[in-house]
Amino acid sequence: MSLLLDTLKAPHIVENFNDADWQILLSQARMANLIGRLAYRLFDTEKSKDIPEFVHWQLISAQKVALRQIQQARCELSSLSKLLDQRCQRWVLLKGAAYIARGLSVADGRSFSDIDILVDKTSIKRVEFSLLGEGWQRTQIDDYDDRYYRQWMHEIPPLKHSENRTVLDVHHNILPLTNRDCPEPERFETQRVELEDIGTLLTLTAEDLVIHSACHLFTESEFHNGLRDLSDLDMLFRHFSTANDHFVESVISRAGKLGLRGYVDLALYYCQKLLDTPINKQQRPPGAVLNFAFRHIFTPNHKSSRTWKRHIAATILYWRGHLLRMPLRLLIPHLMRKSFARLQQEKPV
Amino acid sequence: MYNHRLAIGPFSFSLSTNIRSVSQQIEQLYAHHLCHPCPSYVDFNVRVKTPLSHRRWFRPQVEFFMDEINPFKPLPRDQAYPMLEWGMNWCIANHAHHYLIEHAGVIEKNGRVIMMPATQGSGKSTLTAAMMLSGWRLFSDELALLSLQGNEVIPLARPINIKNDAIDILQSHFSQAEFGDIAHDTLKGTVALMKPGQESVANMHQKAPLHCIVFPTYKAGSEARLSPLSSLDSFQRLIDNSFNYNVLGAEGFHKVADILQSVPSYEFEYSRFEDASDTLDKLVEDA
Repeated sequence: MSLLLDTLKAPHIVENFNDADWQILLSQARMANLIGRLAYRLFDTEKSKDIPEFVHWQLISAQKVALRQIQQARCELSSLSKLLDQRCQRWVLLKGAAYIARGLSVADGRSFSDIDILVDKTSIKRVEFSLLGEGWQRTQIDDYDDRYYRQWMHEIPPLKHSENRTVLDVHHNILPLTNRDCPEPERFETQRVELEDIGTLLTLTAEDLVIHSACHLFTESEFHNGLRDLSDLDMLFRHFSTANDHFVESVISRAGKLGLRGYVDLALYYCQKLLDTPINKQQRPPGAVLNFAFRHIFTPNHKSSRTWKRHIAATILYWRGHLLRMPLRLLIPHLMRKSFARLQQEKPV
Repeated sequence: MYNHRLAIGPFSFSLSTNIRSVSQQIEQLYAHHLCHPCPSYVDFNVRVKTPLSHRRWFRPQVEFFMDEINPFKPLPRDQAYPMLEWGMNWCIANHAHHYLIEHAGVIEKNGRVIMMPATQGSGKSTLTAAMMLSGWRLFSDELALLSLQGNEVIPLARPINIKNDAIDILQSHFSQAEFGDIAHDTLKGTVALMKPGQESVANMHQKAPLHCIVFPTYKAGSEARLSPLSSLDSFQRLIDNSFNYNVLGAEGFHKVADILQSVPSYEFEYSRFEDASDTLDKLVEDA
């Protein structure tokens, strides 16, 4: 039972909630990192008068935390943009930071921890070194992980700001280099946004933004934020479709050109199926095993809704994510090395 | 599993543990709270338990959970009870952003609240405990909850976290002081929790307006000395001692400004509890 999904789809159901229901809703939302979004969704409706006091203050608090994160991100963007404009020709904001820069409603209440940016592969070294001179630090990872990132992944190891602990992920591609669908990053189209106090920033165009979110979610191997990311896609489809009736079609055709249609189809299917996203075309589900896995991973990871099926789903998707990321000849040594390292780390605190 | 439901000031806690001594200390230290009726909902579902691994038996550890969130590293088993109290502080300080939350001892007399913000180890908890034992009403030794709508402070009346030498000092000074078990070698040294007085707990739903702010410092051998502090200095210290000033943003800024426009701030140096009590008494007397 997912009260969270039901409430996000149809906030009016809260009028029949008892105290226990409210408590489950809060717990599920907190575990799914969706409590901020839930707050906005409930306060937006007329149903906000049905929210009991003990829930109201928790939602207000979550909203305040989310607002602060947005403010902090804008502050970070302002100093980053000065630095990056000097250091590289083109840098593009991705995901959460892009939603904030574009002022999309999907950013409201969205839990936010990392800033993701895309830069040209040729300037990545220069960008990394200038960030290191400006208070960003490498996170503590061992040499193996560092090499793994640099050789196979689409990003360098995350950087952390020494003062405010913001995490910055610098990407040079959309997907890991070892993914067989990995496109040329130059093929993604960008759109400028003007922000007061910050200046001009680049984000992906609406279609490519959605395609990137879909690729990101449906190549994951760990789904801590799976439900939140699916809800992001739902909100993005809804938002862009209000201004453009044919938005979904243009995403589909654009994804076809980029060779990323498969991920977009999955996004459309699960948005429609689980979040009632208004999509005209009936989507087809993936194969039975994958369908089982996604149906159960897109549930709140809380005891009130968790079943054994979710554990199986997580295992299937863990392997799928890794297999998409790299071929077996690379994956098996990597995972063996990882589990060996984990065994060694089991030392007393 | 042992389970206790408690109303603590404005919050409703559910405390669960599989450790008998923790449950016994809850029953001892929260004895007055347990007499109060609980609301039907729970704000914070909290658990302290030994993990399901070899660490249950081999150099046993405890873990803290709020619902299914585990914000801390495990601690040795004999620190289970202090961990529960620290965890409860964490719950409030990280989620109750409908208040401005200051790291402060808070006491009340004559319907007037004195807030005593101070950093770790400044003797704030000891002073708060001593004042409670000298007839003041305890609001909190750790968390001042300041209403964002008015001038009111909200009581919690929880057990007071006493450290190191202060445990013996308070015990020898006040025969009625009642402590839970003593935990040695914690992150904060030797720690024991003092039971809040019955009066304080019975009135834990009674808010009262903030009357003044006192920044205490314990200085051995000193006479009690109260000196006015400028709003500007006080401003900086209130920000430094706040748990959620950053989260509140502009709202927090205006709240702190409002406080400083309506109540005075003092620096306070003391060494003897009697002197401290006399000085603070004068602050809340009718003019």
